[in-house]
Amino acid sequence: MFVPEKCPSADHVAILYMRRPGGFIPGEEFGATTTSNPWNCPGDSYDSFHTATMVFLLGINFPEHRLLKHSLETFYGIGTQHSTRILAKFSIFQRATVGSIHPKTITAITAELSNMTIETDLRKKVRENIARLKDMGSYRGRRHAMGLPVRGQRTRSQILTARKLNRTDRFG
Amino acid sequence: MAASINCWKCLSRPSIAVIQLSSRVARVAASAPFSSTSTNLALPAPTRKAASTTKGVKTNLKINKKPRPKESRKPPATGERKALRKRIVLSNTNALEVAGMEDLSPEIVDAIAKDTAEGEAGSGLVGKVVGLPGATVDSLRAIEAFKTTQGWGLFRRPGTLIRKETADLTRALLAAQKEKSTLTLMLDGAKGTGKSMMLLQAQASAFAKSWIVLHIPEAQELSNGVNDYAPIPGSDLWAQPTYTAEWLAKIGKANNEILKTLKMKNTHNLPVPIEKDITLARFCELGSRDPDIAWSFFQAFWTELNLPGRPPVLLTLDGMSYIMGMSEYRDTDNKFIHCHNLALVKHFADHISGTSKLANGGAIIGSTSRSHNPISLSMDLAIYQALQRQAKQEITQKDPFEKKYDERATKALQNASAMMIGGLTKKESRGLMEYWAASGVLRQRVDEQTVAERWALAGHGVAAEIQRGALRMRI
Repeated sequence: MFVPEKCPSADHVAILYMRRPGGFIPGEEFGATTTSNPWNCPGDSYDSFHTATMVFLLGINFPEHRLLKHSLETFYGIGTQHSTRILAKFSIFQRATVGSIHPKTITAITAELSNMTIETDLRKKVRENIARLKDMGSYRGRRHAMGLPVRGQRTRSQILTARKLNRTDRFG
Repeated sequence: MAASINCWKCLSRPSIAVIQLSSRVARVAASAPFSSTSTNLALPAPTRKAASTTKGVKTNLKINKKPRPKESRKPPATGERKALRKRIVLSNTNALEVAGMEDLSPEIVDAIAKDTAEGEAGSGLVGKVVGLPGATVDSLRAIEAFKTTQGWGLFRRPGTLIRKETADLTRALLAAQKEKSTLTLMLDGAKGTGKSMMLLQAQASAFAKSWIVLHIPEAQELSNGVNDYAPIPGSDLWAQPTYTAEWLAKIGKANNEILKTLKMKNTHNLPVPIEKDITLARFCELGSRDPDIAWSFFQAFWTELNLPGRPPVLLTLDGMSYIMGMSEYRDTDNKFIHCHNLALVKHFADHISGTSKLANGGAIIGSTSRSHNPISLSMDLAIYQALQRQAKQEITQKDPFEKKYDERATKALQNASAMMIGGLTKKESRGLMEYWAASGVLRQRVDEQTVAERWALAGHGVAAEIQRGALRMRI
C-alpha cells in the first residue's frame, strides 16, 4: 500500500491519491487507504476531500470542476492526442468540466479507457519490452540493466535520466 | 607646571593619567552629553563578528527569503472577475445632459434615411448625435450590442453619431422593408472606425421600426470550441445547444415588445409538446429552458418569423472572419469541423449568401473585426470584390497560387454587398466633439483648428482614435 512518510495536509492527500502513479485498483488499494488513517493523526479528517462532489472515472475520483481533458491526461499513457481523440469521439468540447458530462457518457468514457492499454498494462508492457531486450542479450538490454544510456549517448557527463529510467524493473 | 590639555603651544607631553581622563571624558560627552549614569559610562557593545568558517562545519548559506504574504481577503467568487470585465456602464451622472439631443424615434430614422451625403436636402442629421431611447437601450443591452471599449460610460446617456454611412445603411434597411427584400451586407473598415457601432445603429433603427433583431455579438464564441456541441441526427450539422438556448433567451428578451404580440400560427414538429396559441415571446422562453431542445425551437421560431404578415428581421453578426474557416470543434473521427457545418453558423451563412431569403424583408449584416482576428483570405477577397462590383470597376480575381482560400467561405460571401467604413469627415468629427463638449467631458474649445488637429492626429478621423486622443489621453 502506498503511504507517504509524513501526514500531508488534506489537500496533499487529495493530490497524492489522485495522481498516484500506477493508479489504484478499484475497490482495493484506493478504497482501503481512503477509509483508514495510516498516520492516526488528529485534526483534519483523512478523507475530507471526499466531501466535494466527485466523478468516478476508471476507478479514480475527480473533483467535478476539473477539466475532463486534464483529468484524462492524468492517466499514464494518455496525452494530448489521446485525450483529444476521446473527447472528439464523444463530441465533448475542450473546456468541458468533469461535472458537466452526462453520467452515461462518463460510463462510455470509462469503457473506452478500459479498452486502452494504459496505466498498469502499459507499464507492464514497457517492462516486458525491456526484459525482452535483456533476455536476448542485446546491447540495448545490457545498457538498460546497467542503467546507462541506450542510444549511443556519451557517458562522460549528464546521464542522470538514463540512471533514473534505464532499469529492467522500470516503473513506467 | 603641569601641562594643560588645552595648551597646544606647550611642548611637554601630558602625563598618562591626564590622557586617560581626557579620553574618558570625551567619550562620555560624545555618547550622552547630559547624562552621567553608569550605563552610559560602560564600554560600547562589542560589534558582531562575521560568521567564522570553521573547517568541517557547515554554514548556512541560504538567504532567508520572506515568506509569500498570505492572501487575507477572500478570493473573488466564480465569474465575478469576468462580470467586472464585461460590465457595460451606460451612464455617467457627472456628465451633463445635452440639451436638444433628439431620440432615435421612427420619424428620426426616416429623416436619417432621407439625408444625403452632404446633408443638404435631408434633415441635416448627419454629423449630429442622437440619443437612444430607453426601450431601445434595454433591447440593445439584451442582445449585447454595447461593447466595453466604446466609451458609453463617459456620458449621461447613450447617444450615437449619425454619419454618412449611417444614412446609407438606414436607407438600405428601409428600402428592404418597403420592398420586402433581403439586404445582405458585409461591413469592413480599419480598427476603430466604427463597424460594431454601425451594427448597433442598424439594430437601434430596426428596434425603432419594430423589426425583430437577432445578433451574434462575438462570432468567435461559435467557433473556438468553448461551448458544447452535439451532432444533429440525420445531417452533417452540429448544434450548439447551450449557446442556442442562451441566444433564444436573448432574442426573446430583446424583442419582447413585438414577440408578445405575435402568436404561433403553424404546428411544428417539436421534441416536447407545447401549449396552443402561445406567443412567440413565450415560445422563445420555453426553448431557452432546455439546451437539448433549443435548436428545434429556434428552427420553428425562424419558420414562424417568415410567415406572411410578420415584421422584418435583422440578423447581425460581429467578427465574421472567425466563422470563415475550420472551427476548433472536432467530429467523431477527430477531424476539425468546418464552421459552416455548425448549424447556427450555417444559418447565418445561408442567409448572407442569398440561398435563403427573408420572406418579410429585412437584412443580414456581418461585420468584420480588425483587432486580433484570424485572417480569412476568402472573406477579404469577397469584400474587395463586392466593393469593386459596386463601384463598377474591374473585379480582382483570386490569386491562383494561393492555397489558403476557403471554398465554402467564398461561396457564402460571393453575393453579398459590402460597405467600407473609413474615418469620420471633419464635419462629423466636429459634431462629435461638440457633443462631448456639451456633455462636459471635453473641456476645450471646439473650433475648426482643434477639430482639424484631432482629425489629423486620429489617422484622418478614425473615430476611436479621436475619442482616445480627446477624451482618454488628456494630460
